[in-house]
Amino acid sequence: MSNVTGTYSKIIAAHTVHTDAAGHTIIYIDRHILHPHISAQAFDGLRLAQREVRHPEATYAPHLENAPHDPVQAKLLDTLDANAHEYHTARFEPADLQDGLIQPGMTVAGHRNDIARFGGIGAVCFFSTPAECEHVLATQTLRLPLPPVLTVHIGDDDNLKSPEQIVAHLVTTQGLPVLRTHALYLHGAGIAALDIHTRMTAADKIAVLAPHGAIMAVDSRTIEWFKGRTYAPSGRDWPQACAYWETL
Amino acid sequence: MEKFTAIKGIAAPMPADRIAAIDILPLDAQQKAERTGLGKFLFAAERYNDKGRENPAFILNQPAWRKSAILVTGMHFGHGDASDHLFWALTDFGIRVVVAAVFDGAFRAGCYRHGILPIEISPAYIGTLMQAASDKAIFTADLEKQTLSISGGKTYTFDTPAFERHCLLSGLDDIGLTLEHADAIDHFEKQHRKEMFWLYA
Repeated sequence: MSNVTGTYSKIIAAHTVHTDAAGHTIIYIDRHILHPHISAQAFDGLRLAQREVRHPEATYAPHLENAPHDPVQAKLLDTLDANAHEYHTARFEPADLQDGLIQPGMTVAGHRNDIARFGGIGAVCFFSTPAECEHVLATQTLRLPLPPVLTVHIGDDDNLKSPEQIVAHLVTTQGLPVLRTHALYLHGAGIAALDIHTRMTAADKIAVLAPHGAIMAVDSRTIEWFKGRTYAPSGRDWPQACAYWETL
Repeated sequence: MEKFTAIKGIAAPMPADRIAAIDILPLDAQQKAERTGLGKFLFAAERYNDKGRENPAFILNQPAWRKSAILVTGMHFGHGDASDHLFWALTDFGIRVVVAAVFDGAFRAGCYRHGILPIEISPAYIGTLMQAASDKAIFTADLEKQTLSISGGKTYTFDTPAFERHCLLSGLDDIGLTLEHADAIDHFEKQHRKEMFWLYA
């Protein structure tokens, strides 16, 4: 299954639209998860430039935070709903995110708090600024200099059981400056031994220190986790999606 | 983004050195969810008094300079964390050109990204330009020719990197630049839908 050439690099290669002479790559985004604060400015920008959302059906506007108590938060959620309605983006419930909407091998853009954990199931996540959110809305792509990839092998004998232990291990063995500047790819028996929930929590916690996020190798446990989920591939699509995931 | 060719008008002199990003746009305005209508918060600390009324001594409150599109500034104008909000506020007010002897990199890059032309002029001439701005001379910033000329005065030349100049002259923002590759995106999408059809079920 996964090998050292790396899940991250394979997914990037499968989503590269164009690379220019200055080293900027246009990356195609499969799923765009809107964040109330960031997307408010992005939609304003879209309107000012009289642009449209390129793929409303791949753009999701959930309420991922609990019912807000302060009026500023409440107004932002209203704005999100109004924009989602005006631009016909996909409606869905926060739980759907966990229910197979984001799958291995995908590229995802959104707010770190909302999406970083999907590195744990083998999706490449991009944490966006308002300008980047607007860029994805208008083009379904990001244009950016790709970070270097850091491949970390975690063995059985590293004996890392919890997300906190994995974060501590990365900080001690790699150092913060390396974590800050690299996209992380974690693989090995020590990752295979973790259940999916632990992998997702670990990816979420690593991303706090590593702004390019962390992705974990895809294995039979990942595939098993997706089986039967509402938005996972089904019917004749299922075996073909699995066959692809096994190449990651 | 609006195409940049030549901007002509009375320039506002702001001679102080090291006017920081936070002096240009206060922190609470930098954290707003909106990106439009930010011009009214520009230089708020100096532009308004405690009661929110205009401070008549501030240059942009004086009749001749209320609609200036050009600022002539001291060294390191806009240094510090230059957020998108700061540039949205400048363009919303109508600023299209900032002249200085020295800019910090982040501010200069932000200007290009938001359709503002930063013009670096040798420190030897800044005093003359500041005086001309105070005297309400007409400034013309021509990006095609890369010249800054003063009515009844000299014409100065400046340099703009070729790529940034292309973007400003063509009115290309980040999205516009990517859309120069729209055919490649269309082509990619067709292939991607064929290869990973289960994503589109």
